[in-house]
Amino acid sequence: MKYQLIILGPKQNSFKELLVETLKEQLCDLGLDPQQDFEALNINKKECIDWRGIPVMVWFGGLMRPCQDEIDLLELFIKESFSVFPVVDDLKNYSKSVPPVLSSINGQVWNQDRLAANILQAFRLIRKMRQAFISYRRVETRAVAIQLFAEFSKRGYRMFLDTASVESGEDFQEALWGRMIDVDLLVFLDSPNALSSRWVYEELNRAQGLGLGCLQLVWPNHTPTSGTDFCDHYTLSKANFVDGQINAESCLNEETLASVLSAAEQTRIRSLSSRRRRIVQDLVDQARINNFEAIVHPVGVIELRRNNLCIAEVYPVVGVPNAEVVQQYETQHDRQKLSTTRIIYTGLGIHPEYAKHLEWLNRSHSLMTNQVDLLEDWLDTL
Amino acid sequence: MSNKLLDPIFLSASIPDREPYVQTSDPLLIREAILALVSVSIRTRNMVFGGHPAISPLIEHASRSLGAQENVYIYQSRWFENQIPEVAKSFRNIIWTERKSTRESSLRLMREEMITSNSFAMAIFIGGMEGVEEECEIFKKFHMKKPTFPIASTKGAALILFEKNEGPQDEKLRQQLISNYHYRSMLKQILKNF
Repeated sequence: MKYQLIILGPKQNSFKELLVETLKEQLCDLGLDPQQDFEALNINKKECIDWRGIPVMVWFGGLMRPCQDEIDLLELFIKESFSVFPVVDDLKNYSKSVPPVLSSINGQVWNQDRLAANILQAFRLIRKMRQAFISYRRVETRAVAIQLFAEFSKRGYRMFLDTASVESGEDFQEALWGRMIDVDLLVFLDSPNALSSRWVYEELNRAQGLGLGCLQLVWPNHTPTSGTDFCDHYTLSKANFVDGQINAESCLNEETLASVLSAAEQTRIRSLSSRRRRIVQDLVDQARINNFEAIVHPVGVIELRRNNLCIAEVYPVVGVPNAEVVQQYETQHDRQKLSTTRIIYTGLGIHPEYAKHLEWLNRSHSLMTNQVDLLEDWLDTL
Repeated sequence: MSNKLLDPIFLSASIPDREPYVQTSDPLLIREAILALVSVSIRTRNMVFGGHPAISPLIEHASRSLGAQENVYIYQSRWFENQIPEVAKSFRNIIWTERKSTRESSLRLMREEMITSNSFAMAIFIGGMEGVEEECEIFKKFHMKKPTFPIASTKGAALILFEKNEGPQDEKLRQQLISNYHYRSMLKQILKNF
């Protein structure tokens, strides 16, 4: 599974090479391998789109009529609420340059750096959004944990090593918990005596509830710990270790390391897809039921419209909102519209104490947060 | 059980790990379907299901984060008592059923007690293997007029049941069960009508 960019529209040939080249450079900067991790597809390769991932589309608009196949694919993307970036020569001609289905979506004038940055953000491939945990037991797997820490860091991840939750049975350190808003991936080393039932029941399920991708490295001759069925398993054997040695100081060989990182990227992509679906798609579906049209702009807010009038706006948060996010959105938003704006999140995996914190935030801020499953009451008031 | 406005749901689910169920099965989809069901139902209905090492804590944790863990009821056969970790035994509502002479008869007893415990609104089937097929058979025997919903897109036994024409007969709804991955909105609509 790769990060897939679908390039369509009547003026795609003018810009696509430059865009793809820019993106590949930035992917390399992040430590990814553009050959392995990314692909740009046109309409002839639509069968290669992996709908379980997070495909992103760029539509290069123009006055020429696009082919029907491209319009059909575009409409499917909009229907499924995947990100679409309309790009035109001149915003004054925007509505004439794009198909009707894009008329309400924010477009932009061609600027390769800005467009590339937006696309990477849609893939959540900007540094502050690329974070991961490694949970492990020090006395069994220290060297591999450190090895993975270094390799993931080279691929642009901000890494957190977690031993406390595994070794002492404590909750995920609360300092780490506060960062979980931007954590996409948990890699845990399932060695023979590492994972207690309590860790699996509490911490792994918290990660699952939050929708983190969970990659489980299963140690040689060890049966996956009970309760980890929902994780992506990567089974290791002696042959995956340097010199075939397995102890706390053993490292993975180069080939295995590359393979683990590739598996981790796939796990991340799938988790991003499911988290996005939990929030964005559910909001769009709820909006339709409540007679709103939901306009999903590729970046930023989702508009809820009725009879072409914007009635409300919603910021979807993948993960858990915190005071920093509330402040950021509140200060950048039109103050007149704060009462008809919400930040939404799923609520799953949230610690009950943190839920109280969110209630307190709602009492003390104009911009409120809302669980996506409890939106109906608010939508009814609009 | 607490007095709820809406009738409880019977959930039958597991993660396939052997043929013929495991082919094309996707644990991520099973997880998402289960979490979607919990999200849209657990505040207003009880949910009853048979214990599973991955599904029990997933549901218990999710319902706890939504402030509704008292609405989750997990049936557990004493046949497995020694295999169940202590942390699982501390879930709020665990109902133990008697250990019989064999694993199969213990499981059958557990399933029958579980399925006859309530007047359920419906049964929902997600993923699964032989146990899910058996639970469907038992559910239909004791609740023959109640609707069943195999979420066929999660594959496993749910797909097999769907292919045997289990579930609603409305074509549009059947199409949703096989191809709609927007589990939250689909389940919300199903629950609204029952």
